[in-house]
Amino acid sequence: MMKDFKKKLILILAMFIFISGSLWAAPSDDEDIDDQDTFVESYGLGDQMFIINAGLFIPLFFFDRDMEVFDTNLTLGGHGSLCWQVFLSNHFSLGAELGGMFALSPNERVLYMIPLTLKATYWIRFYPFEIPLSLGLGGNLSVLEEAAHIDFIAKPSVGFYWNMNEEWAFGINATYWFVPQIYSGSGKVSSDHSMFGNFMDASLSVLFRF
Amino acid sequence: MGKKIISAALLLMSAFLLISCNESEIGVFYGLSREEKVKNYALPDHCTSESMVKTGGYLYVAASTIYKKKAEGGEVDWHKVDSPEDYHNVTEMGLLSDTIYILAYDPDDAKPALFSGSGDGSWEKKSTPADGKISRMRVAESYIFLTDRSGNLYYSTDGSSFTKDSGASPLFSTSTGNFDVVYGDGSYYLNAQYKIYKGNPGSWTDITPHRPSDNKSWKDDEDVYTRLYYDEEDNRLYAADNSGYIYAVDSPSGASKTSWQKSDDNTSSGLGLQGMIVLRIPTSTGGKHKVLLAGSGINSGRGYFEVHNPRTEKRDYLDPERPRNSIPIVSNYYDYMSFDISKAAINSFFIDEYSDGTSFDFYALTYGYGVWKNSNKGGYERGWNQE
Repeated sequence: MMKDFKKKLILILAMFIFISGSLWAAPSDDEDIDDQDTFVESYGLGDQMFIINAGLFIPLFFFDRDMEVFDTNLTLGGHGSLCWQVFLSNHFSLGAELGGMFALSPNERVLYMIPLTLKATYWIRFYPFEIPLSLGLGGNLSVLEEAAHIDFIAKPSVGFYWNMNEEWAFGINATYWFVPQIYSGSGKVSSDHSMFGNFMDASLSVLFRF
Repeated sequence: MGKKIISAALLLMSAFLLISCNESEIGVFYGLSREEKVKNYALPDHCTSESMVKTGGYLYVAASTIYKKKAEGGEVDWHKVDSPEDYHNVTEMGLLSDTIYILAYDPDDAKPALFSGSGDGSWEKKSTPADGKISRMRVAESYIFLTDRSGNLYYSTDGSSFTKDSGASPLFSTSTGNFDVVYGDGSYYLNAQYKIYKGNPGSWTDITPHRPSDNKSWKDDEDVYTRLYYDEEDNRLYAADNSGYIYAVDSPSGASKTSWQKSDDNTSSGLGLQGMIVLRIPTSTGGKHKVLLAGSGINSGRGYFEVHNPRTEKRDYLDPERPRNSIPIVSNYYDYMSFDISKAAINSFFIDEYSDGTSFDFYALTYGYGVWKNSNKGGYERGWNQE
């Protein structure tokens, strides 16, 4: 079990580092930098944007406090989110994101999760493309029939956008959901039920700047 | 604009905190990690059923269509039994002297008809009183009981002719009245909406539960009694009401209105109760754990409630409670909570006792969530599967 978990964790970290590394390396080309500079001139402090994401929710695995890994037993699900951000500088934006997902259990019970996060994004640009690297931190409401719980959530993500014009951009987004679900044992649920949820979403995105 | 959005986000975050709750005893992710798909057999998953009988080594269930299978775990799958010609919707079933009686509807006619048969698919149409405007049927010990849509009671020993029971009629003001009949301790017991009677057909005595202290009715005016259950081993009669209270009386043939004990607490949210059963489940310590199960009513749909070791000495010995993780006598708690039975209204229970004298299966007949079987899963563990 422990071995499985390490393998999965290493695989996920490697994927994330690889994608991030490639993207950070992208603007090293002089021509790209020129393009990026040309494009970036449009943005400044106070510029805002809305992003709508919709796509698939991919359950990965749970692990408990002993690092034992468990199957989520969930089907592939659906996901959507609405994000607002404001630019603090040419490359850095800050905002909030409200999302939602659903997936089915083996007995067709529906798991809903509604994360609300504060989101910081670093934008890498090589016109007409943009690559946002984000980290969202906040709260997540998980609901499964009568059981509901609010937990911390961390959502690192990476996207790839094509700018159609100065206002509209379209792209794809991949986000990792890390949800440590901790029970103190003071309520009805034993502290032994604490589990760490690991999920992903892959979505299509529409971005509007104003 | 930015400030407004941040304020909205903070407001939403606050709302999250306010609605945090957990009615079950299972962590969300923990429960998912342990969820197993329920075993499911041939009956329709969303059928409604109220009655089951056992005769000739077979179990028969009325779930609109009639199904049968070998009893005592002899067969997994159910087989359809032909319904009476033109009467394809079988709603109620009872057994009297190895003869099966069914109440069945012709889809083109709102009036049901009574039929009898041995379970081989051939049915004999019986007489129906009140010009066929029958509402409910119950079979207990030696009689078939029918109620009509005006609330009158009729009884018969074989269905060939019915006698209008002037001793108790009319029982209800409407056709939707709660009605049940059981037999035990040498007497019949009948609940009819706001009343409970004991006696015999044609001669009933009102034993509606009253407080011993002031001899006033123990329930609120609007509450009705829904179902009765007689536990032969303890010689005790139980009644349930639509506010989630349970009533019990020992040696019921000698009971009066003030002999009853009433549970101190109800189903906490006031969920109504329906069918009941008392089980004695063998435990690893060599003893038996006595538990009363009471199904939640049609308007509530929350599975069943449990009364562990029900007694009449004190009121709180009859308090119904939802299944708990710490007492997995009837079922593993995680399975129960993840199966549809936990959100079903349960019309009635039926026990299939094996001829070895110790083993048994029992069935929960639900409203719209099919039929569920509880059986031994090995050792002292019991669990549910959907039929």
